[in-house]
Amino acid sequence: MPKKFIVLVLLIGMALSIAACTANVTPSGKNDLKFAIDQEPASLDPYMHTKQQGFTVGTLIFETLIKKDKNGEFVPWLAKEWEFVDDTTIIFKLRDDVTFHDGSKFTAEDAVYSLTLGATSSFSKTVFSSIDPENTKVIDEYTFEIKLLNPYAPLFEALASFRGAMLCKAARESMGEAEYGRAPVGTGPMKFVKWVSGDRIELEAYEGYWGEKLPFEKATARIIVESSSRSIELETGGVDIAMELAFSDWERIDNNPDTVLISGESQSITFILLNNSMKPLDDIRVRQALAHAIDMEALVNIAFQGNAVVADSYYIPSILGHKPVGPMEYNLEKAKSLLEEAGYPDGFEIDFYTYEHPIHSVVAEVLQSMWGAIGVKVNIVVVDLATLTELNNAGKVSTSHMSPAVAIADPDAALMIWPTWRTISIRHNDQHVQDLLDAGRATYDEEERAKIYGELQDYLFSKTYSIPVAFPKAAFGTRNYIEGLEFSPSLVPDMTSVRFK
Amino acid sequence: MLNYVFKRILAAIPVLLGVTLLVFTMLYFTEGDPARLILGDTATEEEVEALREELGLNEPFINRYISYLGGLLRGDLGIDYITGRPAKDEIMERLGTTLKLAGASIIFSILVAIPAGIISAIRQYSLIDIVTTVIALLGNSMPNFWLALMLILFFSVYLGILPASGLYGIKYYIMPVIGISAGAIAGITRMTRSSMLEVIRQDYIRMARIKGLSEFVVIVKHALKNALIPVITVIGIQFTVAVGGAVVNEQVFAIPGLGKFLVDAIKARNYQVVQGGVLVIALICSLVNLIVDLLYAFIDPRIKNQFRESAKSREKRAREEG
Repeated sequence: MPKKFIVLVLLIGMALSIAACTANVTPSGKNDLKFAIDQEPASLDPYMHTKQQGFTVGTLIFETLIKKDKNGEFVPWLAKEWEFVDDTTIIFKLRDDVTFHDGSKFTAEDAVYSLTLGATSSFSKTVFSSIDPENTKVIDEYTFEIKLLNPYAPLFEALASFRGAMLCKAARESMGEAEYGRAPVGTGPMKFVKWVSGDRIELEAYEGYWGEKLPFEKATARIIVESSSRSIELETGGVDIAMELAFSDWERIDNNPDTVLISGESQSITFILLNNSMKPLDDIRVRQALAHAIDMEALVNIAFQGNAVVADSYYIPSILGHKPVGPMEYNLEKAKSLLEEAGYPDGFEIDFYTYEHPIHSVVAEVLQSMWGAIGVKVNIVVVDLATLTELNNAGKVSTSHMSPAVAIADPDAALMIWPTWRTISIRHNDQHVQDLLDAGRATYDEEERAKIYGELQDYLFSKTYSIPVAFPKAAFGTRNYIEGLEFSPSLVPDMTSVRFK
Repeated sequence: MLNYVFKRILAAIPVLLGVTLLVFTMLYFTEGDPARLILGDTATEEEVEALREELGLNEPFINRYISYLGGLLRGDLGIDYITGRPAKDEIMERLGTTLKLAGASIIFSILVAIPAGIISAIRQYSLIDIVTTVIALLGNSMPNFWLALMLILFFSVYLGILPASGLYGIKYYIMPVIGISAGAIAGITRMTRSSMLEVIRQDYIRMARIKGLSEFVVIVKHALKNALIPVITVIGIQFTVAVGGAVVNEQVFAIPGLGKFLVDAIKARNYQVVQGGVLVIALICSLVNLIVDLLYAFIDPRIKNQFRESAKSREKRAREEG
């Protein structure tokens, strides 16, 4: 009996140790990649949406003319070489061995089609509007010319990002816009198979891919909206990668030996929107008083649970030209005297708009108490996001907390809330801001460009048109046998870099 | 009988029309602009205006409603503003999943709840009755999302025997079915119990026992059949709840069902999807109510006679008037 018992114990021990050994390597024969995204994209056509989830799936399906390597240099991809003719004319030569998933050849015709679409679509024109859609033209089958309306320094950053994907002209024209977005045809290593609405998007390896093949033949993007379900799927091995993990799950994913937490600073910024066209916020002393009344360190720690950095300027440090200008000193005395100067010795009442969001609603409550200390009575107005979006763009929001996405890692895109044509409720209407933005866009020389943006950040800070709050961190998680996938500040990791251990 | 069914179906038409008008009006007066939501904050006023024009959002209320009704007659539910696909396709894709899940949940609820209700009725105040009542109370009062998460934690994370989310096979149904059924089981059990308690005190049950029928026959054939009417009503209600109201379970278990889809559509002001989805749910509710009413007749001959009589009396009246 005892002998049998010992044998049993040994057997169990062996089984466990085998299990422990295999836990660190890829399950044998693994041929597919499953990843969980947190929202269903409306479309996969990169010029018809602005959602990171759609772009993440798109990194497997589409490719760009150029890429950015680890040193920040732009390197050839679908384009072999390029040449500046002058400040507004660039000639690109394309590879001749690239085919789309439907078998047709990728030519200059497709490239011109994609970029002119980018310049005119309302989703992508924030990054591509400087491209002249009339005069950007095909030279021969594999050569084309980009004509710019004005010198545009962020062009290469935009072309190298997932925003500048190359579409198949023939397929898109015959399928129609909506259908193409639901069943895209690209040149990437994976081709589209099917999209089960609300559930998943399936891809498979494209046999005719011109470049290096990926180590998996199938990829499935599962749509799991609930963040705790997403992290549990990762922990139980239901998916290999889970995007956009909630702060509350970070520690568990990090401590679990089967999973790896990959976190970093995103390129977005959150800020307190002040409506500069509304009384009393049109008075700079009032705006500065509000800024001085915020203990930013405390606000950020409470709202982001320590997973954000206090914003010291209007975009993140890793983007060109960042200049630390803030935050405004926490000084209640100063705040009170500024209010008094402005004619509000007893403070005033103001609406703060927010919607049901774990961070934004906390910011609202903290501000209510901080501004309350200088006599400003904050009414928190909770509406749903759709209502807030409409009110905000109609200029009716007095104050709110916003976190706009930053399309590409370029100062021009990072400062996208500041142009005077924007309809959101900031409404600063300051031509000097617009002039500096225009100058920055048109300057190719990096040093000079950085100087312009430095000046702009100083100017914005001195005017306190809004109050920068935080550079939030973000994280995704992978199983421990996934490697190669790096954190991307745009929150769109390049899925083609996934390798199995 | 057929006459009755036909009449009921006709009677459903004004109800459904009322539903479309109500939903349409509510959405019309709700703040939030679908065009702005689709294009986002970076679009200019002109672009938003152009999209509003394209989607027909600038038309006056009455024109929009009439063209929507016209579409309905042609079986067209409009388009999903976000994907640009027909709303009907999107709704039907979700409806299949929802019906399967709701069906499975309601069958499971019946299998568990009716026996539990019967047993606790015939063994009133016994231990088993108390246990059932407590479980039913728990099932009724537990928050949906909490139960769903606890199920996942226990079966997927701790035991590792069930997949945590999705709906790709029989195994995947187990937890969502339990999650959705919890409330239904509680409701049906309690209704079966109280209804049975009422019935088993009736004289005809005593009579059946005196006749010397076995306890099983007495309970199932004589008592249960008579106690079933309110139970069926509750089952009908629970089914419609499972079709339109399983939002939380759908979200936690990542199931592409109709409820979650509708909530998202409301958030995105995806008007035509909301209208179509609510209409489909209303249609299912009417159908379920009809089936429930027919089941009454099937179970209780007195109700069946009422149908016949009303038809006969109407004919008689018609003859007299004619």
